[in-house]
Amino acid sequence: MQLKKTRGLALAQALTQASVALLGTVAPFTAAHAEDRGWQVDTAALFYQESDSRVMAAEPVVNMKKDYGDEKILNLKLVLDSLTGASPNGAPPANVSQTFTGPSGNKAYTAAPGTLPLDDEFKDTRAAISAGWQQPIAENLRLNVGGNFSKEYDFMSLGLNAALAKDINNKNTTLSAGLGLEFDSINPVGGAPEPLTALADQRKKDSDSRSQVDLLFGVTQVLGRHSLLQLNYGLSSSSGYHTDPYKVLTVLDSNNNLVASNTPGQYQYLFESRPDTRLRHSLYAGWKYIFTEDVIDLSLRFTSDDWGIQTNTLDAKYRWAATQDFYVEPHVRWYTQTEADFYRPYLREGQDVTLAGNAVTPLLTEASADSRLGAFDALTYGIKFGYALGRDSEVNLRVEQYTQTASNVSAPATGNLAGQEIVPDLSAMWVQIGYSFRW
Amino acid sequence: MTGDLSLQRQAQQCSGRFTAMASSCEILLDHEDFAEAARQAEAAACEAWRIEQKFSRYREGNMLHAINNAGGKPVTVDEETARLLDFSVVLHGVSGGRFDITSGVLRRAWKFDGSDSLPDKETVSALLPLVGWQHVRWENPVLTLPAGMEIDFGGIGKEYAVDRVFMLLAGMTDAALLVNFGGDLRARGPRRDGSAWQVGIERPDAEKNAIETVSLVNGGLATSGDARRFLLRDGIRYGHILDPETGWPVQGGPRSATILAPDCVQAGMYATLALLAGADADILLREQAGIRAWLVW
Repeated sequence: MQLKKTRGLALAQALTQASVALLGTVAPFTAAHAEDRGWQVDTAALFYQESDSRVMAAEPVVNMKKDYGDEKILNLKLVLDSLTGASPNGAPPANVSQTFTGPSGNKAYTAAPGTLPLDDEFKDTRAAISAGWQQPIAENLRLNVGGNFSKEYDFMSLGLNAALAKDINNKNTTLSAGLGLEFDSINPVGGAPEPLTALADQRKKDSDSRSQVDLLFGVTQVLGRHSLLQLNYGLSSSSGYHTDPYKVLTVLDSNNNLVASNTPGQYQYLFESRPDTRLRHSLYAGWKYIFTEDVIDLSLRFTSDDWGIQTNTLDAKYRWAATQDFYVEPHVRWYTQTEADFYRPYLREGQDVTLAGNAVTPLLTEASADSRLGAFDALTYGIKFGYALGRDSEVNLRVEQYTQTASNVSAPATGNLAGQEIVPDLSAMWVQIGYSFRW
Repeated sequence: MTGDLSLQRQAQQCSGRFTAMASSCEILLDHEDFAEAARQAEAAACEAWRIEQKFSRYREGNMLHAINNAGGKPVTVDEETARLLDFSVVLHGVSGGRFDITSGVLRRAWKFDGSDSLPDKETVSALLPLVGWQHVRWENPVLTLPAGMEIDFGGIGKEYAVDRVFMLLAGMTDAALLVNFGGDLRARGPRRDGSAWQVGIERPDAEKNAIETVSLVNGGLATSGDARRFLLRDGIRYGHILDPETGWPVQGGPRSATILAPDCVQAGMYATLALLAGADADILLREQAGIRAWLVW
């Protein structure tokens, strides 16, 4: 016989539809629940490396999910993050040697001429746990509540979240609304510097904090037998300490030269300062389409905040079910961002600061040279391989390459920064190995 | 249509029992209203007997007899038969042709009585021209079977009846309920005390003969394959699932498959497909996320 056996998802769809047609009514799909099936465990280890001896990270993750039946599900997740390496401190490379006092106040480090100053007093381990509980509270209505906690050397975060999801239109449409609250406590090494004061003066206080409220509204719609569309709108409002306590800004005089400070051998740099509040809107659209066994996943995300930063992301993945057990999933992501209103790659006399001898007086209340707040484009491309070992278990490998290029930043034509690459390109690579199983 | 129907009320539930489709059938209702239970059990039994008699091979004058004795002439079928035929077509397709409702004539050669009497190759081969859905003309609502060919819904009839009776009862009461026709069942829950229905799955292993208990809240359960219907010769077991292309039993597959799925019809279909898939049964079921399977090899 020439008929080919149907498998996998195509089989499930064919049988579900056939059953509906036979029984003359919509069979409400309640997943048939049998007894306690233990935990579904997903583990992964991520290894991340930036170019030019910058940051390296290793991150093991364990996620455990248990279905208690009746659509009651418990989720637990543990993440450990270990970072080492050196991170840019905000000052661009200069054609002279630059020396900085480290965050702890007693160590100094130097960047050779033409090299990007990197603060290497940067070894951090972070542990984060989160727990979530989901259950139905009425017909077609589900509640999700959860909490999360994370701790690293200089930062602690505590969060709570709750969300409701309602199915309508025979479960073809799901509406959801969620609320998140987070409280962060920042305890920087050496203390939190007073904003826009001189690095040389080391004026610091102990710690600070920040809180954030997030609202999320979403619609997920089944479009026919093969695809799904999801739309989300998010609003996020945070208030408190947003500044990066370790980052500084270079000061240039009217000749575009570095300015001497009170500390011999060190130039004048100011600690950065960011606003006390941030309000961010985000819009997300995601679309998944199934061709027999392959899946295409496209998404667009747009964000805009009151710091002046707007971002656009386009993400595309294609899962190719090469064999019954093995898949290959290429991935590409384009990202672009505009700069924050207070982003300054360096501070200029007359525009941003005034100078009187070695004393610097800022004319701004907020400024940051953190390239993550600047305008840039980024491209990620990668590939993932997965192999099914059994009914609920899989082993997978993901490799990705990231390149970030700053836009809109130029070096002054004269002075100590002339001819330098103010914000060098960043490239990074990561490898993630994962193993999922039922326990 | 009547047969014996018995009714019982125990602590917390009412139950009705009757015989249909060569099985002991029971209806469990999670309420204590005896009068209501009587109405519901009666409705359930009547629907089961209606389906049994409409599609029974042993009765004359029913729809199935008309189809199987039309001598090659077209027959216009009713809406319910049309739905079952359409369903059979889908199964024929997804099983690569192995599920075939015209393969019933092969029972003239095979008697699965646990003995070692295999039929002659010639006897089986002589029947093969009468087997094969590709010879049938089905254009809803007209069915034309070549003379000598037969169809029967034995492979899906019981699961269909379970789901039909379930839906009928679900419309008559809001209580949790369980419909069980000889091990093919469908349930709705949880019960008022919050508990799930406890269902025992028989594992026909010669050594263990164990029963595994499963907690079922909503869904259907069906078993294909039967420890009792087989032939055994020279150490090789011949199960009663026949491959319509060869006329011989499917080899290398599980002896039985029990499936938990959203409804009994789907459960029955996965169970049948598992046995028809032979050695690939494991892989086939592994790909299905919404079901659970117990296979005995």
